[in-house]
Amino acid sequence: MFPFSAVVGQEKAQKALCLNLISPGIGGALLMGSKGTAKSTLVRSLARLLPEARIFNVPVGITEDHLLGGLDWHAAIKTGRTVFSPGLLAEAHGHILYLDEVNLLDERLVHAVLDAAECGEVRFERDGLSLGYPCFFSLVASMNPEEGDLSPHLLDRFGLCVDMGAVEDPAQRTEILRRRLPFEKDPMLFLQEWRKKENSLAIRIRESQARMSQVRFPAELLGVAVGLSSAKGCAGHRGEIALCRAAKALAAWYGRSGVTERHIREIAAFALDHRASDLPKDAPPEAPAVSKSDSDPGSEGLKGAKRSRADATDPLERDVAAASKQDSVVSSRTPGEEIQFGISEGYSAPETANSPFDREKSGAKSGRRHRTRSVLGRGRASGHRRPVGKPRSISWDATLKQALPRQAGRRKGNLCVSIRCEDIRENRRKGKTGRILLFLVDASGSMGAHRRMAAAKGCILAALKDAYLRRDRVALMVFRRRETRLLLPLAKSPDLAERLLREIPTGGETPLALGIGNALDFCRKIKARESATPIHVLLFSDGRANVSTTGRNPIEETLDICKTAAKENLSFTVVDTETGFVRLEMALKIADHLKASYRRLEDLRENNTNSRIIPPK
Amino acid sequence: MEYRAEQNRTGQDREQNGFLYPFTALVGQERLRTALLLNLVNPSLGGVLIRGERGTGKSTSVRSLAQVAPSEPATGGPAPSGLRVVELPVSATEDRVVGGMDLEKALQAGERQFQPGILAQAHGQILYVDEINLLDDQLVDILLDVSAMGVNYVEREGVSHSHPSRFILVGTMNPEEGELRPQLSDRFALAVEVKGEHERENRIEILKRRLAFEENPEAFCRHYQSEEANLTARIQKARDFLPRVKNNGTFLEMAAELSIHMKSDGHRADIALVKTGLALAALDSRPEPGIDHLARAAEMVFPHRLTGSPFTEVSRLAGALRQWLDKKA
Repeated sequence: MFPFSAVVGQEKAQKALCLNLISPGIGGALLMGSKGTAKSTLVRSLARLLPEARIFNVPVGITEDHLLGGLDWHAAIKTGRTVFSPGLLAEAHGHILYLDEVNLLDERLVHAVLDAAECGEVRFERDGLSLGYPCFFSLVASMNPEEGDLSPHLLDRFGLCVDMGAVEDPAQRTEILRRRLPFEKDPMLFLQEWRKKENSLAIRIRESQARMSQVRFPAELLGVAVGLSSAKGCAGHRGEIALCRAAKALAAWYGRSGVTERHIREIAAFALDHRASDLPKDAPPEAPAVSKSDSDPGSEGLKGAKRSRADATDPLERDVAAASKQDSVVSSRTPGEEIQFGISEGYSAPETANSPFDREKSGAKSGRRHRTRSVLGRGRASGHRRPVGKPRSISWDATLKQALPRQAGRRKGNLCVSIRCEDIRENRRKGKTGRILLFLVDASGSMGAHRRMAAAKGCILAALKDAYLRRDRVALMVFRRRETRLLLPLAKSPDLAERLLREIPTGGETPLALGIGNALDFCRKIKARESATPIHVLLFSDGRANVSTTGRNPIEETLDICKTAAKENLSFTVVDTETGFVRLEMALKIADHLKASYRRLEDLRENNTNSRIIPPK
Repeated sequence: MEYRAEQNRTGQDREQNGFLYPFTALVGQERLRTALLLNLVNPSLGGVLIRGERGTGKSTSVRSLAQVAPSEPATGGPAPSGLRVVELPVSATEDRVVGGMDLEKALQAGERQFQPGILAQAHGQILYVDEINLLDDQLVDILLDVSAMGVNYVEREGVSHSHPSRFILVGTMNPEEGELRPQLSDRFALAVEVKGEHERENRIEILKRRLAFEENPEAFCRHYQSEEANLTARIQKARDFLPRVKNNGTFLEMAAELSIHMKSDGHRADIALVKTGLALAALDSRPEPGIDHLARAAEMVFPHRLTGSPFTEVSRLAGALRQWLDKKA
């Protein structure tokens, strides 16, 4: 194992880990970085640094039972007593808990771990057992942001977060090699050479731990912490609390008994950057900065719309004001211009409940959640079965029914019933999981004509409401002008989606291939984490691709990527926004290549009987 | 030597060496505190749903609530004596929530016996569900049924049993992580929207108290002892006063009118409005509830009930309320 102190160029991560060891109450250290930035090397080397600390690794596929603990059923059938068999959280008490690839873990389990870290205790109410056990550990997590994001509410709960960039200084790169090569040649010798440094670091950590209880935080410095936190626009109070705790640990690390302003400033980025929002406090979320410069011809219109929004206090009035303003100017738009459209009322959601092919076969109604076999042993019990391997959730009723007729000739000891392994039955569970809906919206200039964007927004809003009622998660992705933006990563909050939706600006070219390609990448990332969750992509576009980022023919490129997309385990709906007499029907072609269900925006008006048209094949 | 971090247990939210953060040491969040206290004044009020952004002390306030509950029985309420906070963790399994077969009894004595679950423990207490929006659907269904009927009927694992289960339901959630089903949010008499303090002075005060509590929880709690006792006495007084608050015809009329003005469906809102108004009057020791009580009650009764609930915004509620008050004046 490579020594902790021999890692080069990751001083920030090393410091965060040390502080979190000195005072685990900081709330954990999250290391973010791409492959090969020594994330896991650092974490694993902690075990050598502090031999008394064991590292408990939470694997990606861990079950709730494994993490939280459960009934020791072997003991139950042998002795007739219900005994708790501890899980990983209970074992990690007093040690280090490591969440590798925390962004790929099931969110519920991450919640459970973070709760335990915050409370120092786990309330266990499962398997007929009710107990609480102490659970205090130093939490360390790592993730590669390229493989998927961590939701902001989970991110917020980590005390410190360090962005580990690749080492780019040539001298440091050389030094890495200079250390790595001898380590690989003769690890034992290398460790020997570093032992002294490692030992003194370990002593420093232990001394700092002991000093922690004496470190004082002067009241006059609280304002500094609060000021830094508000300046970054951190929501809630966790930022400044973590900052103060970290500053205390840092003071202990420097051998001081009091925190100074320098300590706070030194550690501020660790505690605040991942909680920062780009939005100023108390202001409604601004439209994401799509226009890059003020010389942008459309930015004046955008600013104007923003100003009128800010002027009106009532949000409803605000929208009306914005919408009417846009209506009056829409006819004079030129393609390069940028504008926000209001949301038209009266649209119904395109049907998305089943894959379009299912619906064609069965005529099934929308509104059914997908039923999948529950991965985590949750969901309603529906019957029971003989377990394969280790049983997950034992159905004692069914097990007793199996055991009772076979009692003859069994030795019961002092129990009334003798249960053997072959009698054990487990619950078969059916969980309902929501789907993921990705709204992929074309916000190019051509969408501006004839209030198409307002209509599309109306339709998306209807779909969002529908998604909310069915507990689906939604993501919102917008493409225009050679770029794609993920406005809303997976969320269940329709409020947020609606707000963002209102503020989508329109204008510029149509990079359709890029949009579909980025949507595919996004879906693949999700599939890596939750393979069982169905994903449905709703593309809102007129299909008029007119720009390519690779220099190919935009239309050919689009159709190619559609073919690739059709092979993925995804389902699509194309909502054609084209209106008017002269139609190119490009969206229809795209739908064809995507094997997508096809709708025309104008058919989705409420109470229109045509809204259920089955797409032509 | 085993690696122990005991001396640095600064991260404890729930308690610090056995000490809970005092309710009276909370800074700001007036409406949240009032909503919680009203449920102590009238334990049959119907619970609170606390919605708010992350890290705003939602859980802290609920956990410290039981400390200020009077130990004398409330008249007419389900609470037999001082309240406890019974927690329903999101990871709980159905058998522990509703109760199930007592396995030890079955194996050792060959008897099928009912082992009570959380719903039994919560009878007459505060049932607290942190992150209630993350609760499994089937547990939400159970909560809905039981809170509607006040009885938990158990038919599972070959055990039939029923027991009363009436509780003050308190749930917290962060709307960013997903909304609550409307049927469930409608079960809560009150809802409050919690935001982090933006006032610099308040933020500093929050931080100061938090750090002081972590450094010496015992001294911190001792410091607030008399304030806690005063608050308990005030709740007790309001409880005793509540039966004397006159629930007259005009008040009922006004409440019904306001409910219609707010276009809220169903009668649950009307009932909550009246009960909350009365409890508020009792806290103020006013025998005649007034329009001010009704307006304050409305701020807590309607946030989760307006039509199209997930899409409403708080300011719209305030606007509608102002409109009604102007009309009355």
